[in-house]
Amino acid sequence: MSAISVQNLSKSFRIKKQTPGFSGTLKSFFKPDWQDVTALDNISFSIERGERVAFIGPNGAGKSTTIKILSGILNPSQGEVNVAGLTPWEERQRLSYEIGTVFGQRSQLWYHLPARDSFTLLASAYGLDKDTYASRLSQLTDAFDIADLLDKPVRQMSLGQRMRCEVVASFLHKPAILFLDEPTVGLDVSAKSVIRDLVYETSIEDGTTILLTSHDTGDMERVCDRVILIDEGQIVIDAPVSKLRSSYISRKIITLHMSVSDISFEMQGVEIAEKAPHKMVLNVDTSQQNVSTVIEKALSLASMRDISIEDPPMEDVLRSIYKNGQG
Amino acid sequence: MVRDNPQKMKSDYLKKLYVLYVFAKTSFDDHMGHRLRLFFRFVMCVFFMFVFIEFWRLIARENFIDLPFPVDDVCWYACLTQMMLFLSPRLFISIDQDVRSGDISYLLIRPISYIAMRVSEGIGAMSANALLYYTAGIACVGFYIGGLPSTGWVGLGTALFFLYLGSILHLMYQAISGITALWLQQAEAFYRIYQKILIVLGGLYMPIPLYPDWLYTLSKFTPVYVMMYGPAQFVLGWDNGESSAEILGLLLFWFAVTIFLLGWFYRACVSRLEVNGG
Repeated sequence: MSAISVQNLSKSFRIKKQTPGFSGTLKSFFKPDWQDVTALDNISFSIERGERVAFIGPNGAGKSTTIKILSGILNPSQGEVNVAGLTPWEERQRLSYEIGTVFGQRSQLWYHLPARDSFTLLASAYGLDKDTYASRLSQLTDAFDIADLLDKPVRQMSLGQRMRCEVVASFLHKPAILFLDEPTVGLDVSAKSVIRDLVYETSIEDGTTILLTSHDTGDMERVCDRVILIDEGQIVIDAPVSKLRSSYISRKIITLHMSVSDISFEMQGVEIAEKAPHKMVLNVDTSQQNVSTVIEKALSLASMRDISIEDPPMEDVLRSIYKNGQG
Repeated sequence: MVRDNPQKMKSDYLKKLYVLYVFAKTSFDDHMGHRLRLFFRFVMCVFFMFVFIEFWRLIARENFIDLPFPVDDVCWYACLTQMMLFLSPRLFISIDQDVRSGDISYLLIRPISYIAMRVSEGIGAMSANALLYYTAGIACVGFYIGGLPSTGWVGLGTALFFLYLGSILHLMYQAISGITALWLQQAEAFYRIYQKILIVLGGLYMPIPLYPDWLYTLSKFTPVYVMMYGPAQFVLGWDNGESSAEILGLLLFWFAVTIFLLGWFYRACVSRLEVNGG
């Protein structure tokens, strides 16, 4: 049986349209003009137990609406959904024991209290007995390396430290399914990497099914095996990450911070995207050129103060998908 | 039809109550951690209490009205009603912010009722306030007035006990105001109306027996009567006051009505929920 099964799911919202100006305000007060907006349009997919799936798409694509329906917060307009054998909006409290959530821009920790107090609170909310809670906390404390943070007030933690505690809070009751919504938003490169690795390792160990939404292709590549790409409420692509990477993410962005003010750089498969004194941004087509070869050549031309390698933004990936006629 | 084992249901019910207690305790600890906020709020409360004491002393001195109570008792009454306003945290704002920020999506998928959790947290924060107001606050008032009310420690203790229960009822009405944000996208409008009713019909500025008869009667049929005037009247030295049993009975009645109203209204609003953000 699938961990998550979604069939012909649709959700539309009714929003009030208002024309600008005083007359528009008056008209809207006496005779409001309503408009139906479709957030999800007849989508179907299923996720097996233990599978790690990235749910990606541009802003307003319907990602968060889907997660909110799957976690029982929103009712759909039509369709059937089964999460851990339950209908989310009808059995929200029972479902809550089976799911965990990490929303990158929200916190479930008490701001002025040590993280341990929030963990104790959540353990009692999820009905964990003392021994189970103690062993689970000790296991997660080791895995996430938060022993030094347990008794530190959350307000004194860095964002990276706080996110590690947030993820621990979500894993505490050992959920069968974990929803991650932008879990690395706002984090620096090393903190992102730590969170991704920890989520990946813990989900393997616990057999947790992961559904992750993110604008960061790195989250998707490092944590998930499969990608569902959604746009304007419809599924555009449902494929393994490896296929998406080889088909669409064939570019890397290399930023060079040079000690000299300018260098002349020419190489097949490399475009200069931006040039400024002491700085050059290169757009590398990895199907034609290896990233390490590009860096070697840059180092042979001048010494570097800093080099960074990034994936192209999700918008570029989407553009690439549309250009290839899949949209 | 399969029914739950009554023994198991009882134990589940007790477990839920324990979880709510843990939420209240965590909120108490968190509230005690905000020492500056606690202190400044207390200073403001004491300042307003002193203003009201002077106000009633002036009224008595100039014989503006014929008071049926000793002036010091009315001063104590005014201080306790003022204290009641300051005791409760602004729960409706927390709920309003949860809705506006979208944090409610986090809180709704916990195995415990969101609204019960918020009210429990409110009780925790209120208890932290009570610890300060019932000790230092009462000492300040007693010192400024120059003694206890004519009903003595018994009257004052009874008043403080019922004021605490009345404040829990007030938290529930704040929660009702707060959850209107699930429907109207803002809780402020509804709360302001409720607050005006509380201030006028609850008798914040003067004991309601001083009101015209029709207004006094109207007040008696509202829950705000047992939140403010009902508890505070125990410091008024007169024979026409309500007994402890009467106030307790009224409180239990209004608790039952309010819990029903809160549950029904919460379910109705959650079914219309359109979560903000993301």
